[in-house]
Amino acid sequence: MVIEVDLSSKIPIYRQIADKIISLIAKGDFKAGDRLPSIRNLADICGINPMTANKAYKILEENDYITINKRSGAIIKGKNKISENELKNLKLCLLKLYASGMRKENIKKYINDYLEEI
Amino acid sequence: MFKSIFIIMILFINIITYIQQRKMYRMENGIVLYTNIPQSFYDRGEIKKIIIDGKKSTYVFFLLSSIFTILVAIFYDSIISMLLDIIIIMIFYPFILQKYINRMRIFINENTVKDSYENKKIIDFDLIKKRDKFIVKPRYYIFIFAIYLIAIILAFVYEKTYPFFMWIFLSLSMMMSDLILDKNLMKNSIVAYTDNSKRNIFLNEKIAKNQANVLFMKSLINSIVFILLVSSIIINPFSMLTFFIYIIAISFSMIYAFYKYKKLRNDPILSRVNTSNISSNVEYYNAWGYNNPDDKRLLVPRLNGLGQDLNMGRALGKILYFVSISILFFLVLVINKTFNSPTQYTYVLENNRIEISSNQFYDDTIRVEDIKSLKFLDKLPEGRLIRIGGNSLEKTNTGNYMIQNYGKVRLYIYNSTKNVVEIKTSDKNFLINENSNVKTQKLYKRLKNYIK
Repeated sequence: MVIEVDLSSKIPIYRQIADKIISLIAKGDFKAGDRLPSIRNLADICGINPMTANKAYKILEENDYITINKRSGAIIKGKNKISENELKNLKLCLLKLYASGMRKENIKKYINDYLEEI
Repeated sequence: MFKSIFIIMILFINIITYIQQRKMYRMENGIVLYTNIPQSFYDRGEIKKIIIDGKKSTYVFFLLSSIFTILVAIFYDSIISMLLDIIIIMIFYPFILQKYINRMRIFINENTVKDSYENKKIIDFDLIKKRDKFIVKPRYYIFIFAIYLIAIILAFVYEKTYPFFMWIFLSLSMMMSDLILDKNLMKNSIVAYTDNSKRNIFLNEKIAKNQANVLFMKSLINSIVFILLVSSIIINPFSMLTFFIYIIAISFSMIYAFYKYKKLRNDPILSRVNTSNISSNVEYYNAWGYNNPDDKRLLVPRLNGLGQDLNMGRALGKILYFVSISILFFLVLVINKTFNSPTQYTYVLENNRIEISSNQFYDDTIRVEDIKSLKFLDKLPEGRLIRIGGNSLEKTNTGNYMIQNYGKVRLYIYNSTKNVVEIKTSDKNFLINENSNVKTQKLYKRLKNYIK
């Protein structure tokens, strides 16, 4: 399970880490009950600022992907409730694509391709 | 002799510090002078110039400070001035380094946009999970512990020189320093070389195994050399050669281990993989360590070299830093008091006792009825004098010593005075004198009259 973080990207490092962990969960690389490395280990081994690692974990916790316990660390949660907000975001994305002139068939094709990738 | 050893020690510290400082000017994993350098900048003349200028300044400072040390030793005949000299030297080095770190960072910031960095960071979760696999297993050290134990038993059975607790302290500190060093070395060496977890684990396992072998061999050699030292001291405690061979053997094993350890990092297997795995924390490091108020850690892994750096961004980090500097100055003051203030021995004869006191941490009370013999000697018994525990200073020798062909003895001796008084009790021998032969003769008469 490897993720790459682009230090030159305009997307903050913590956001990249959180997004990549979400994609690992989606692919099934991380399963419910799996433990993420501690913030200290992540910082020490990978040379990441612990604040960055902490922020990434906080995002995951806020979005219900992990639970953070002082003793057992960060643990991947089971299946989440589908968030209303996420569905609204998805709808907004689709509307934006449609508004910019993309045909419904093309949008469906892209969605299928992305789902295939998972 | 005492002063020359001190000068050599200070010059040695200066050389080691100089070598450490020079390391900062070497490019490693795209980092030089605590600054991330974009790959396209590696051959830029400006960068090379900053590195050359920095190296030159450090070299000039090293030369000047070495000359300064020798001049201080020649013109100021005190240990305190030499200690202050090395402290001043140590304080100045980081200022030179920081000057060039700043120059490098300004140049990089002015000449690059963030996008010009091609470096990517790899985070390998499987590798992190297996971290414990790559640390030296303590079970290997049971064997080494057994060797030290044999050394302690030998020293106990054939106790001839140092007190038993001294051997335990020596062997335990040797073993612990080896263990801590090895653990730290292994901990700092886990790297995600590729974007393939299996390959990363394979490479780290291979390197960790080789490194563990090198470190184990070093610790094994150290323990065997230690047992040889104990044996040779048992055979002949007065041989200086043993100590020289011991120091050379230990230094050789350390240098060999570090050379081998470094070489493993340049394993041809690694040259085929991407080793560019830069730290996103670089900008928080400076010549004095690490400074990041947002980082809760007190100790962070050192970026260039082995060990940990104190986080000066935290209040506790700053306090610890200043406390350690204060302790250093306090120690200098204590050493100054011990070494510089003239030693005064006082002999009080009262209540059927002889009370000997010095300002060198050693005092004795001898009961008159315990005294078996009192003799006046023209000079110290012949034979090499070795210190077991005590202060061997230029003008005095105070504490526990051993004299060849004579045995263990407690000394309160002014070196400039030849005459000594020997007091033998049932369990201890004392050799004492005053700061002149005449005074020593008077002391002998006083003691003789007193114990009649």
